[in-house]
Amino acid sequence: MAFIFLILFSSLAFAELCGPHEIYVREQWIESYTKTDSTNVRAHTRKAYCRELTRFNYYQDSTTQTFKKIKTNIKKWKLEEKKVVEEYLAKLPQWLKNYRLGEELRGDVGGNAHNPAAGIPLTRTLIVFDKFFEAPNKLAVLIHEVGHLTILDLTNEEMAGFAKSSGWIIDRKKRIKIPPKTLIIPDSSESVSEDYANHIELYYSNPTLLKKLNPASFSFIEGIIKKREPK
Amino acid sequence: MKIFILTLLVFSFGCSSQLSHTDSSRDIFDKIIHVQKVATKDELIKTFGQPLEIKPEDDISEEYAYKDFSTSVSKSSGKVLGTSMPYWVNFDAYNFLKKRFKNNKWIETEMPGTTSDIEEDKYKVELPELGITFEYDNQDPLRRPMWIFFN
Repeated sequence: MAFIFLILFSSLAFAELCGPHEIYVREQWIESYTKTDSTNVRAHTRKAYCRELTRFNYYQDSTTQTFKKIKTNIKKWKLEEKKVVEEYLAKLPQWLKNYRLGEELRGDVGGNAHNPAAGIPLTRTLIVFDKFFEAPNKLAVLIHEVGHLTILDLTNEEMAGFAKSSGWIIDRKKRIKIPPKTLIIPDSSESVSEDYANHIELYYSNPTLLKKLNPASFSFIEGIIKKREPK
Repeated sequence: MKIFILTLLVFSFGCSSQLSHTDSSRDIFDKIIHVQKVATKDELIKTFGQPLEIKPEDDISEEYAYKDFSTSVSKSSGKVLGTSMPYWVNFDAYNFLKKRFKNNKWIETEMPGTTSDIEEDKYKVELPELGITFEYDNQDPLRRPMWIFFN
């Protein structure tokens, strides 16, 4: 019985995450249809798979994507703006550089004062806003945004371990997550994901400060990064 | 091939003996839901064995930490007050949970976004009959709850 159970669920339990240059395409229900050669195709489930991003770091002046929470107007890139973004993307640590971006868009307003850029995790899109070009911390902004993508590749133990080291409290009675008392950047209280991206950013921009603010989370994030940096 | 099958068999029995002290046909969800219903420390230990660690939590409760989940237990009465399980898995969690609990009432509510520099599409899911709640973000390709709460 245990053997049958294992066979049935082995593909689920041991499914591998997609690589940093791939997008996960979810399982889909396909309704029956007729092909152009009149062949009838029955309704079926198309299994989830990883699709390689063949086109990446691709600058676009418009997009077919719609955003729920990010309110911005997408506009045309200027040549010099692309050069600035390229220059800083080239400076990313190698393991972050491996995270290919599907689209790079230019938005007018959005993000926040600290991060004048935004990420769309599902489509691996980066949106760069006007204020990015005035920001003194351009590399930190890009590290932060790509950092948001990397939380998706943590293991269960790494995710829970990071949250614990950072000081998140899981209140099982109230069913809530309580943010750490000491925040490394004020908006870390917004979510575990924001806190994680802030940690990746501060690890590179000011490791001494991160170590001083939270030695436990510094060590934890250093362990995560070292595991992923190419040898 | 024989070695492969033998390895799988050994592994599967290893897993079932670790997870199941009472009934191998029940998964971890069944077992946690059962413990939550009975709601006693004795039933928690009877079902899952001794915890890896017992940690003070606050004035009224202690955390019983197991490998895959943690449970809050009242210091004075031994009553089980709630359980949380991190669920940052490597498969489409929403799809799995939706099928796993297809026979239960499933209430899904859209949540406001919390972060200004990342696109979010968050939902809260409640399974009131089972006392389960979790949140997931549709922007996560694997639609995972960071934690599943039971109480």
